Amino acid sequence: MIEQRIQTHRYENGLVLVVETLPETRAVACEFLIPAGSAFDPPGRNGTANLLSDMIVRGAGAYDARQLADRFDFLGVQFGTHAGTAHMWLSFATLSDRLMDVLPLCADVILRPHFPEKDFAAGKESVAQSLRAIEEDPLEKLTVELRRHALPEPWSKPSEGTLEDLPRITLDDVREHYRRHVRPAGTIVGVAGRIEFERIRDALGELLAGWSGPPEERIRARWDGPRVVHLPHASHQTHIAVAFEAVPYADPQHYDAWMVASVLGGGSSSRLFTEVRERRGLCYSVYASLVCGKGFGRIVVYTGTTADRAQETLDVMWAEFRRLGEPPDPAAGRGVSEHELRRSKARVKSAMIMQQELAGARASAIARDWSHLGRVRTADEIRRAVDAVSAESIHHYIRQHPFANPTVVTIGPEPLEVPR
Amino acid sequence: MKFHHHRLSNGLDVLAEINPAAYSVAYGFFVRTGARDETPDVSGVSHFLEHMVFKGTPRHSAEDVNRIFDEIGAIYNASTSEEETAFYAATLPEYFPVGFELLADIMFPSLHEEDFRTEKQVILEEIAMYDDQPASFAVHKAMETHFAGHPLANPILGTRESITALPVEAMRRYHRERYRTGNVVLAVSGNIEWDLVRRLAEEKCGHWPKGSFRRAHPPRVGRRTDKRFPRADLVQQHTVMMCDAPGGTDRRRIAASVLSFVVGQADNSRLYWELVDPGRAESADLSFLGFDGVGAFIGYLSCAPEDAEANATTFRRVLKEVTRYGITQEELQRAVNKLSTGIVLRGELPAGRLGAIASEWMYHRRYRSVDDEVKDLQRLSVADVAALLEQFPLDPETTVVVAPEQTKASRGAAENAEAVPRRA
Repeated sequence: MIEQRIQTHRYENGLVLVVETLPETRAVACEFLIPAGSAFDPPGRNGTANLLSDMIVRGAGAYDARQLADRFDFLGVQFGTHAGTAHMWLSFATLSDRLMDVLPLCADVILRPHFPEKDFAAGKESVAQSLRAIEEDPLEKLTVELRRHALPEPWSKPSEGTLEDLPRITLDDVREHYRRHVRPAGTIVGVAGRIEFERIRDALGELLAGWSGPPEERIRARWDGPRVVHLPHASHQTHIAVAFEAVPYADPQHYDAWMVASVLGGGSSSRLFTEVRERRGLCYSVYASLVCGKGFGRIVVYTGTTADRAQETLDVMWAEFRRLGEPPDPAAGRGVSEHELRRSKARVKSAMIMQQELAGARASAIARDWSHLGRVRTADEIRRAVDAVSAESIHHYIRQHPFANPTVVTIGPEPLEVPR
Repeated sequence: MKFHHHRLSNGLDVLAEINPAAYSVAYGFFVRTGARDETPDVSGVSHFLEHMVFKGTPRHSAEDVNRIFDEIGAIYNASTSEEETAFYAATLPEYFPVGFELLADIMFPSLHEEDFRTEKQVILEEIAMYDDQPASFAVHKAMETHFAGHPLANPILGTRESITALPVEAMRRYHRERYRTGNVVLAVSGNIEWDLVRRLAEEKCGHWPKGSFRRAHPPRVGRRTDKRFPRADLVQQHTVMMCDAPGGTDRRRIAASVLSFVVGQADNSRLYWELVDPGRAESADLSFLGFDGVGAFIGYLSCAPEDAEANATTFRRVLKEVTRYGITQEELQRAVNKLSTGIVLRGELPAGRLGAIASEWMYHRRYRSVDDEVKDLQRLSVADVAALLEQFPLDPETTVVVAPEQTKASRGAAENAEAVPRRA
């Protein structure tokens, strides 16, 4: 069992601070999850959140854009902002003794961004550049398109935006997005490292005391079901992504879904890795993972293979989906065996302990937990829940959430025939 | 943090940086052989062998290898570069004996013909995958051009042709010749007892064959070369420029790292403010590649094809200015501070230390702690960087351009998206 020190604080303005003290590290990592992601982009203006995450660091408080970047570098800070679908992220990592010098800069970025008119064209062109780069990288393109087709709207909106909407977005749109969505209610600050809880709680309280804004917005998500989509691309490989519906993060069956994804395509002894890569040499990369957002979950399977073997690869993957869903019969190798389940559990448990060495991973994990559950799970709680998963509970889960009717997105020279 | 070194009777160097406060222990074998040590007829064999190492031994089948690593929750992998093949794992300390025994065993794989044929397909997939990624294609072509006639031009993955033609016997011979104790370093880092490391190393590696291999060090022949590669699947133009730099074993490598950081780190550098911040280019960066005895600065620019020429001119102007006037004290200080943080943060993870410990030993027969590395950086002066620039001006000798070729297929894949009916 790991001794963990996790403490939380909710400020009067609604901001939540979640801190895990890691006494053995010299590092500190911090993540601000601000509910201002692309899901909140106005209609026809997809990319507003992404532009905000670019513009928000082009000068803040007493610093212009360059002075701000220089200041972070001088403090030896790895700092960045990034638009996701639910949140805009502001994150940094540095040595723990520099924390108190970095927080005021974060407060400047959050409370006092300049949004300079003269830089807006440049910001827009930067975003356009990165959107064009996605167009020529089949794997990145696949990721964007899978989200678009497999997730409920508005969580499906590309966090990067689109080349189509970008020209329409104005600086006023960005300012409005900032005014409405960059606010303490719904914002979570996750911090992990060698730090004193009280010290950071008081410092943040002071720095962000004047921060206010409207209450958190509720989003009603809508999904019109799975789709099969092919994107033609002049590449050697065809990239294949398959997404099955799964339970959300907060569901009691979350751990079953997690273990299902792991048995299917988690480690190198997983079903997909063994059958697709090791036995047949059909691909370099194949894996399955559980992806969770607000109120939804998906088991996502990915592989990439040269075009003339892509159909065979898809068919082999399908056979594995089918086999995993069959009623358990260990003698015939059907269903999930105790052995493979034990391996999946061992991987999860080791990874959790080793995560204690990574301040960045812990800051993310505790902030994510709060965002989904309104509390932070300890490693011990996760271990017990994972231990409670059995071959029977997995089978029960697969019966309720069968490997059927997935969203399939492919990108490559030729479309594939998707088995039923 | 305590460092230990022990040489086994067969010559294998065992290095350990013990940290009782860590949660994990990481361990790896670093073999001093890579693409540059290959002859054309076995191009890609180092990397292909790296894959085959996981395909089983007389004691463990391929499935055993994957199964056991997963059973102990190991995070494990391997990598091949121009001059090194590395195999490593990180586990909880209690699983060290099991994980270490397995890692040591697989270093001498069976290399069965049938597994070799299957894995060949995986290698061909990997070649296809990197070929599809414009940036890695461009860098690969630039290396090939810049080092033409020098073994560093050898592609790490080999080529479709060399891999297809490679016989298993050639790989067996390569393994026999290179996987010898004078050529391998065992590095361990994290929470583990030194006595256990020493005892298990003796037990599992004590019988490994002795011997070494001499790497060739021909000089690089410099000549100005420009090359252009059109591709049907591109939207942007990718330009890679290269020029000489000190080697990775040269003491001037620290100045070279700092210089490339000031000129071309991704988010706050001279190139960034000239080209990326104003939205002229998607990326514009400069890195230092330090190899055994020779080095290169490599610049990368990606942007819209119509802006490429003007941007490349700006890129060269930035290089010329820094070559003439050097860097400022403020730039130096920021680079040193940020690079130092990077070293310390990476060192927080036992697995993050393995590579540094192994290569420091392999090339200098010495140990440098995280604090030593940081001190080396902090000693650097603006004059050191100026001296470096005098010897290695940033004046690109090689320029490789990978540009879109206008065909129907190259225009925005998204607009051509089509729905496909499900098979009945």
